[in-house]
Amino acid sequence: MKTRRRITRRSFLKKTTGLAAGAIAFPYVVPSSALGKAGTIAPSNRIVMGAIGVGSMGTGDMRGFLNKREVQMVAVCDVDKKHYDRAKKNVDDKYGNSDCKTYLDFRELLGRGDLDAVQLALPDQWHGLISVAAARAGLDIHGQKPLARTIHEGRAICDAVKRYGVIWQTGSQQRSEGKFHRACELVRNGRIGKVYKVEVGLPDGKAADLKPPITVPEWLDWNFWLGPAPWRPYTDFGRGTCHWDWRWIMDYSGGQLTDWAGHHIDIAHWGLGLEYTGPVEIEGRGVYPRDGLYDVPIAYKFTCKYTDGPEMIVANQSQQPKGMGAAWYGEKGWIHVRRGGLWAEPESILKEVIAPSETHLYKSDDHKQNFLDCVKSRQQPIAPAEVAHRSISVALLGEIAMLTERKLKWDPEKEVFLNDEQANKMLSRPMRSPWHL
Amino acid sequence: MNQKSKAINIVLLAICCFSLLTNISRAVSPQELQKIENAVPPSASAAPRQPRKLLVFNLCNGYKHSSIPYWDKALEIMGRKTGAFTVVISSDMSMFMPENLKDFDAVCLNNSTKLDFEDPNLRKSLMDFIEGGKGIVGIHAATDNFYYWPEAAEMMGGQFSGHPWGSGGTWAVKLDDPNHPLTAAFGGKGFKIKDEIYRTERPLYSRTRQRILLSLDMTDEATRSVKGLKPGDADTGISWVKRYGKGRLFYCSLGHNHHITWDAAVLRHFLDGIQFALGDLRVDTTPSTQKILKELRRKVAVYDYGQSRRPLTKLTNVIRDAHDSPEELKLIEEYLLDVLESDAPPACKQFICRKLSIIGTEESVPTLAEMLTEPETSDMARYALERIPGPAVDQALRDALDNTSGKVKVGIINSLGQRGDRKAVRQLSKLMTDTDKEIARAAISALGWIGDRRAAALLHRARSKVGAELHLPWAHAYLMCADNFLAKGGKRRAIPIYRRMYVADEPLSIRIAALRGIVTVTPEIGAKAVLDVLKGDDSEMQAMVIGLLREIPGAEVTKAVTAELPNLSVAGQVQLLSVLADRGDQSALPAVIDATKSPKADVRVAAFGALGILGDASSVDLLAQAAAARTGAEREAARDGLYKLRDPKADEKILASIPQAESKIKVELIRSIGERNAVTGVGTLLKTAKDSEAAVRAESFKVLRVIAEQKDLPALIKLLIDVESEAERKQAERCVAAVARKIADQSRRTEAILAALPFVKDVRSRCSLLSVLGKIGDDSVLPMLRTAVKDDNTQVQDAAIRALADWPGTEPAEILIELARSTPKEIHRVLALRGYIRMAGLVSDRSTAETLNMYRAAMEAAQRPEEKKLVLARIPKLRTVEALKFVEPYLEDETVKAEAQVAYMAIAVAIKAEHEEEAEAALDKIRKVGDGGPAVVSPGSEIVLGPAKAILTPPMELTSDKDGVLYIVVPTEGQRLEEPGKGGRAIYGFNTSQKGTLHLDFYINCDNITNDSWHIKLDDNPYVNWNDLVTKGWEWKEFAKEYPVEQGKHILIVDQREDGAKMSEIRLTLKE
Repeated sequence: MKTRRRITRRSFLKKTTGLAAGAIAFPYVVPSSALGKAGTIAPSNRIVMGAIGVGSMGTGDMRGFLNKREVQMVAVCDVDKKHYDRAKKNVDDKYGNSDCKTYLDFRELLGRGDLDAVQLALPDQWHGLISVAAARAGLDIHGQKPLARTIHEGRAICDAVKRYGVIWQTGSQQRSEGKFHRACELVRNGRIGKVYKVEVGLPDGKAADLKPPITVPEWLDWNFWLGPAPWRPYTDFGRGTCHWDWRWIMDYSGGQLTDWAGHHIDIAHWGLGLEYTGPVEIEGRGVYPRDGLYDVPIAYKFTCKYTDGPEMIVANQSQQPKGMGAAWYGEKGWIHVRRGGLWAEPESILKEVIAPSETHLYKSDDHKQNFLDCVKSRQQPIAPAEVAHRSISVALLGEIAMLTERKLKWDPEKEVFLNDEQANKMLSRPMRSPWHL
Repeated sequence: MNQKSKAINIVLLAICCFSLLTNISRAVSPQELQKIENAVPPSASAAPRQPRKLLVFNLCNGYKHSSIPYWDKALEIMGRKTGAFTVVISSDMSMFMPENLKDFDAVCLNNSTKLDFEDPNLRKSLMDFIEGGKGIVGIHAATDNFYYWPEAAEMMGGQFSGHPWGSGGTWAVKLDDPNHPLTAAFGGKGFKIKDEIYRTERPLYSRTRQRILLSLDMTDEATRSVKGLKPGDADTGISWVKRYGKGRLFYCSLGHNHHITWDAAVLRHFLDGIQFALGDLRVDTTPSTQKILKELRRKVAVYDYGQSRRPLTKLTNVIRDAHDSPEELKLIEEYLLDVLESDAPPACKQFICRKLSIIGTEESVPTLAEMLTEPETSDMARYALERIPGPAVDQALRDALDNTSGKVKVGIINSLGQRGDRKAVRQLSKLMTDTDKEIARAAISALGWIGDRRAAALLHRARSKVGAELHLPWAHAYLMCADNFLAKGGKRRAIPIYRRMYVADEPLSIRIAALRGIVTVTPEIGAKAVLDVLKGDDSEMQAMVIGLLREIPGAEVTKAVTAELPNLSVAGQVQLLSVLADRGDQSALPAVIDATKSPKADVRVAAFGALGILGDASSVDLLAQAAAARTGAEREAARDGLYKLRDPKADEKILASIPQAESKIKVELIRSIGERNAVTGVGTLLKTAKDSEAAVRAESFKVLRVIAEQKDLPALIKLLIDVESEAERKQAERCVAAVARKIADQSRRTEAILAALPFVKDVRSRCSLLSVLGKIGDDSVLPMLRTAVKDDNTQVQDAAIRALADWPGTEPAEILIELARSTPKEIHRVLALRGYIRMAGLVSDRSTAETLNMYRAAMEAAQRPEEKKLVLARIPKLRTVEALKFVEPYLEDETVKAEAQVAYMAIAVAIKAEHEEEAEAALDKIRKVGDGGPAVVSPGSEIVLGPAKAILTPPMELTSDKDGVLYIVVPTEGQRLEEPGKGGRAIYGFNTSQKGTLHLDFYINCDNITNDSWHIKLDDNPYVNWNDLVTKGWEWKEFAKEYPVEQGKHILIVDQREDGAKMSEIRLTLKE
C-alpha cells in the first residue's frame, strides 16, 4: 500500500530542473509561417486549437487566443450546451464562418487528430484526468490554475507532460506582468539580503446557506460535470447554476486558497527560487463553516518551513499584515508585490539595476503569447507544469494540515508525509467509475 | 511508625524545608483560612444519604506540593460547612489496611506523589474498596503516582508526564460538557486560570474510557503557544470522571497554586466531584466519545443531501481528534459500520464511506464488500476501500471482479490498479480483450499502474490484440511499466520496452516518450537517435526531438547536433539555437556566430539571443554592429544580447571598442554601458560626452546620469561648463543634478558645485550651476542664492531666482515672497511669486491656516490677474470655511471673477458635509451673482468645456500630445486611488439656462486597463467610479450617468483614480 503512489519520472526531473530553472531567459520566437508540421498543415500554418471548458474562465482564455493571429480555434467542448453554443458563436463570429465544432465529451475532441494544442478551464476535479489525456494525445496545453485538486493528480500531470514532451503553460499570468517579475528578480538577487520570512495573502473565503437539490436543467450533463467526484444531486451552487461557485465546495476546489495559490504562492516561490521543491513542515488552522452548502475554509492561516529556506506564512488577506500578495522579509529590508503595486523598504531597492552577471529570471510580457511562442520553439514556457505543481502543493498541504489540525512533516522529494498515514491518504482521491488516471 | 522513625522524619523534613525554601509546607495563615472559609459553597448540591467519611491522604514519596495543607484545610472546611462529609487527614499508609479503610466512603489523594503501594495487601485492599463501589478523588498531583502499578494508573485515567503550562501562566479552560452537573460550577462558560496544568498522555488518558469535563482550550493563543508541546497535547484533559468496577473516580488537575483553594467555582467543582465519588450525586459517566457518538447517531443516520451538515461536521471533528488513539478509532469504526449497515439514506452512507476511507481497517471490509457489487453503492464503497490498507481489501476487490460487469467492474479494476495489486495481474490481463471496451481500457491502464514484470510481459503479449481504439492507452500503460522499472533502477528491463515503442508506426507522442526513455537510459544511443531525426525530414518529430536535447548532457552531443544546425529548416534552426543557449556549451559558439549571418531574419534573431547567453567579450563587436545596423526584432535581440553577456570581461571590451567605433555603433556601445550598469565606464563616457557627433554626446549624458557617482562630479561639472549648445546644456545640468542627488549624505550634495562656482566666470555657466543647485534643492545653499539674486549680472539674478522658484522643497518660500514684493524687474517678481504659489500647494506639515496665509500673501503681492488666478485654482484644496471667506471678495473682482466663482463653489461643495450652513449660504450667494461667469448650456445649444477651463489641483496637469491635443492627465506612476479627493483634481464650472436632464460626453484617450478611470462628481451628487473605458486613441465616450439639474450654476469635479488616463474635452447637453 505504501508504495502504490509510485512517482514516475523522478529521475528525469532531477536532471532537467537545473536547466529549466536557471538558464532559459530569452524567449525564442518561431514565426508561424516557418512551421510546416507534417500532416497537419492548418489554415495559414496556424496553431490549431481546441477549448475544453468554456465557462467564464474558458471564454476569457479563448478570447485571448482568438485575438492571436497564429491561432486557429476549431473546436469547443463543455458539458453545458449553452456554454458550447456561446463559445461556438464567439469562434464563428471571429472567423466569419460556421466551422467551429462542438463537443460534450472531451475524449472526442482530443481524438480529432488535427489539433496542435488545447486550452483547459475546468472545475478542479477534472484537471488531472483531462490534462493527462491531452498530454497523452501529444497536445500542447494551456491549463488554468490550480494545476490539480490533489497532489497525486498534479504529479501525474507533470509526469505526463514530461513523458510526452508537450508544452504546458499554467494560467498563472502574473508571471508575465512586469512588477511581479521585477519583485522576484530583486529578491532572487539578494537586494533585501537573506530572506527569513515570506507572507502570502490570498482572498478571504465565504459561507452560504443550505440549498436543496433541484432538477437538472436539460442543457447540462450533470453526471459528466461531476466526473470523478463523488455523486451528489444537482444543486444551485450560488448564482442559479453549478457554475463558478463550485469553488466553495471541497469536492471540486479548495476555495480561495487553492484558487489563488497559483498566483501569489507561485510568485513567492519564484522570488525564492523554491519553485522545484516544497516545504518540509506545515502547520496551521482554518475556520470551516460548520453547516451550509460551502465547506471550504472561510479563514485560513498556515506556516510552511523549508530546508535552507525561510518560513512561509500563507493566510487569507485579513490575517496578513500587508494583505494580498507576496511579501518577502530579508535582513536588509522587505519587498511586497500584488496586482495593485510594488513596494519596498528601503524604497531605493526598487531603483536597483540587475547586472548582467546576476540572475535574470525568465521574461515574458504576454502570457498567452509566451505559450504560443513556446509551442513553436519547443522551449519551456514561463509557468511550466512542475512549477505550478509545487505552488498548488503548498496550498494542498496547507489544506491537509488544517483539516487534520496537525503539524505535518513532508518529504518534498518523495512527496509523502512522514509518519502520518491518514494525511498520506489525503494526497489522492478515489475516482468514480469509469474515470481513472 | 514508631517514635524514633517519626523523629527522624521530622528532622528530615526540617532539612528539606531548610534547603528547599520554595517547597516549605508553611501553615495556612488566618487571612488565607478566612478566604477559604468564604469561598467554600454554603451547601452541597446533593443531600448525603448517610454520614460520609472522606480519607484525605497526602503522603509524598516524590515532589511535595506546598498547596497540600491548603487543600487539607479546604476539604475540612468544605465538609464541615456543607455537612456533606467529614475528613480524616493522614499520610500513614496503614490507613489503607482493610480494617481502617472500611470506615470510609471515598479516598482523596491530595497531591500525593510516587505512591506505589509496594505491599500487595494494601493494593488489594484499595482495589477491593474501589471496585466494590466506593469512590476515589484526585487533586492535581494525584496522577503522579502508580508508576509500577498499572491497574491503579488505569483507574486514575491518566499519568503525569510533564507540565508545559507552568504555574506562572494563565491558561484557557473549556467546558467539554457544559450541561454536565459536575461543570455546573462554571455556569456553562469556559474560563482562564493561573495554575499549573498536567499533561497526561494516551493511552491511559482516553476519551473512550472517561468522561472529560474540562480541558485546555487550544483556540487560545497563549495556551496553544507554550514551548515543548507534543502532538497529543491538542487534547489535554483537566478534569474527568469514570466508573471503575462499581466504584467512581473524580480527578481534577487544578490545585497547584494556593489561590485555587479560595476560588469559589473550583471549590464548587471539587465539592460536586467529591459528592459524586461518595455516591451522593449521581451523574452520567458515559465516556466522552461514546456519549458524542450516541448523541449523533440518530442525526447522522438520517442525513440527506441538502440538509444540515452540522452533525456530520461534529462527527468529522471527533474522528480528527481521535487520530492518534487506536482505541478510539476502533470504537468509531465500529460505530460507522453500524450506521452503514442500517437503512440510512445514500447521502449518509456516502459520508460514512468518506470517513472509513481515512480511518477504516480490515474490519470494514465485509460490509464494504457487500456494497461493492451493487451499482448504487459501488462507487462509495470503493471510495473507502481504495484507501484502506491490507490484503483483505485486495482480496475483496478481486473477488468482486467475477461477480460484476459494466461500470461497476470498471471501477473495481481502477481501484486494483491504483492499489498496485500484483495478485490481480492475471485476472486483469484477461480483461484487456473484453468486449466491453471500457473494461478493456480500465484493465490495460490498471496493469500500467501495477507495472511489475508480469504486467509488462502480459501487456507486451496483448499488443496486437487490444485493437486500434485502445492502442494509445495500451502504449501509455506499457511505457509506464518501463518508467516503473527505471524508477527502481531496473534499466535492463526498461530498455527493451522503450526500443519496441520507438518505431515508426507508433504515434508521435509515443515515439517521443520512448525516445526520452532511451535518452535517459543510454544517452549515447539516444543522442544518435536524435541526430538521425535531425538529419531526416520529419519536421514535426524534429521539433519535439530538439526539445529533448536539453536533457542529454555532454560536449560531444553539443558538437554533433551543432553540425546539423545549417541543414535544418528555419523553425528547426530557431529551436536548436534556443537549445544550444540553454545547454550553455561554449563549443557551439562558432555555429551560433555563423547563424547570425543567416539569410533568414528569424534565424538571426534567435542567433543574437543565443549569442547573448553563450557569447563572451569577443561577441561585443558583432552584437553592437548588429544593434546599429539592424532594425525591429533583430535590433532588439542584438541589443538584448549585448546587455546580457555574462563574461566579466565584456564591460572592458565594450569600453575598449568605443574610441574606434563609428558613431551609430558607438551609441549602441554607450547605451549598453547604461543597461549593464557598468560603472567603470564613466571615464570613457566623459570623453564621448565631448564627441563630435551630437547623438553620441546625448547618449553619453544619458548614461552618465545612471552610472556616474559623487567622485565624478568635478569632471561632470567641467563638462557642463564646456558644453556649447543650449540643448546639451540642459542635458548636462540634469546629469549633474541627478548624480549629485545620489549622494546619500544630503549635506554634501552641493559640495562639488559650490567648490566650482568661485572659479567659473562665464555667466552662462554660472547660471547653469545655479540652476543645478535649484534642482538639488539643498537648503544650505539658500544664502548663497539669496546673494546671487542681487548679483550685478541680470542673467545670474535670473538664474538664481529660477533656481529658487523651482526648488523641490518649500524652504525658499519666504525669500520668494520677499522678492515678489520688492524686486525691481517684473519678470523676476512674477517668477518668484509663481514659485511661492507653487510651494503653498506642496504637501508639508503646515496647518491649513498657515497655507491660507501664504495664499493671502501671494494675492496681496500679485499685480496681474494671471497669478491671482493661479491662487484661486489651488485654493479649493483647503476646504475650510476660512478659505471660502478668503475667496469671497474676488467674486466681485472683474479680472478673476470666473475663477473665483468656480473656486468658491468648489470649496462650498467640499465643506458641505461639515459646514452645511456656510456652504448653503455660499451656494445661494453664487446663484445670485450675475452672469459673465462660466459658460451656459441650454436645450439645443450644447457647450464644450476644454481642458484649459479646468481648475487643476496637482498632480493633475494640463499638457498636450504631439498632435497638439490639449488634455489633462496625472503623469503615470502606476497607481490607482480608490478614494476620490486624495489626488489630482480638475474642477469645471458651468451654468444651465433652465431645469432639465444633463447629458455628458468625454473626449478621452485610455490605452489600457490600468489607465482608464476617474472619479467623477456633479454638484453634490455621489461620486461615480467611471471605469473600463479603454479606447483606441482619442474617442468620445458617453458618461455612465445622466443628471436631473435645476437652472443655475453647477460644478463638475473630475478626480484622479488611475493615473495616465487622458481627458481632453467635455461636451454638455441639456435635455428638457
